[in-house]
Amino acid sequence: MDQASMEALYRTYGSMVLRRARTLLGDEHAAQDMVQEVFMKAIRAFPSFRGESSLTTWLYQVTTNHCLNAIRDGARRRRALERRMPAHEPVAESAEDRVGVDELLQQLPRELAEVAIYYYVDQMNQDEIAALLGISERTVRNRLRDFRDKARSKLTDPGSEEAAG
Amino acid sequence: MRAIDFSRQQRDEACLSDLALDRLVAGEPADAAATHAAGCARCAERLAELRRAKEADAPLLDQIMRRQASVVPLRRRVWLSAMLPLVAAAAVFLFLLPRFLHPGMSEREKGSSTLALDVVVKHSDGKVEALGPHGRVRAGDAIRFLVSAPRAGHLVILGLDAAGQVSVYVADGDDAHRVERGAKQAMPGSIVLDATPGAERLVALECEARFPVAEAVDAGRRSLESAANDPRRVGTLGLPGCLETSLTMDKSQ
Repeated sequence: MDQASMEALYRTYGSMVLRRARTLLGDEHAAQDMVQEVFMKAIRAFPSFRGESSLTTWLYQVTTNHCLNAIRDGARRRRALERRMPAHEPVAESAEDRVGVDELLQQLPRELAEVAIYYYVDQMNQDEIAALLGISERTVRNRLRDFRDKARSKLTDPGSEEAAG
Repeated sequence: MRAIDFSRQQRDEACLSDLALDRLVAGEPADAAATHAAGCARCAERLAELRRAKEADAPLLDQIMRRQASVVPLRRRVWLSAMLPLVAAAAVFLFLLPRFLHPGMSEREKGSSTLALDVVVKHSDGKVEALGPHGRVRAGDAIRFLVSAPRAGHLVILGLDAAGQVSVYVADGDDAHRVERGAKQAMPGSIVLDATPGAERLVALECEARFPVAEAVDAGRRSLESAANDPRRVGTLGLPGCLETSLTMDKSQ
């Protein structure tokens, strides 16, 4: 991909990727790094992109997957930090802000977290999610129901997943 | 900083999702969505909001793009893409690495008068460590730079490798990257190493005045040529008035 195409890609889709990364990661620096990573993938894949889905749709999926990876990697890191640091030291500037959202996205099964992101963050219909993920609407409904059940049990018993897992 | 309401959707069932609106913002064919947005106050407002955000984000995205284009040379970009799963997992991780490795590093080092370069490497197996002199790395490992500067100035970090290539790892477009005085400052971006085996000399140059990256690259190229393309034998690049430090890493495939 030449420089002009890369610029066009950034200018057309960059804000969308950045907005979603900010929402999902809750951290400006991490979100900016995420934009680079998503576009690295886009730059590589662009020559073979056949337009079977829209580029917007594809970038939504790439961003979601990479952000979930980063959030889950962040959970592992924080656990390591908590072991290494005295209890009174904060492990991350935004740790308190992130606990609720991160815990849900880290600890619940990935396929549930993914569907929840599209439904609650991106405000997508169940049929849009089904088309995006290549699954049936019934599966989307079931995953949303499972997400709600598990999220509810997390809120009432925050240690349940860790104790079980 | 973020609030996600996982208890209910925020939009009416008849309204457009952000995905549909983002497709409109991007100019993709979406006639039905365009028709709906034209007649729905709520969707029109959200569409305008997304368009305003796109305008507002443009300067920042230009910076991010320039950083990507300048920090990651083409041949490395290709490799980076191939190694994307590793990069994805590294993003937030590398952002917090300074705290992980040096809990007290936000404090300035008092009395230091030299430029120092620390390299943190995340190996492809997930292990993270500080890279020592002649530290061993492999293709696919991700590295990030921490710079300790005795003064504010402008900085470039280059990689001089055994294939005779000079790569720009830290810069701000065509110019050097602004750094403040202080210890262990994390430089933007991370690099996933390509498959070029052998030694690679990492050189950090900091000058008080802003200077073009090309000047540093030319100096690096001359220095590498005079060392018969052996990074271990490369001397200082010797830009006038600039502080300089380097370390060599050994890379295998």
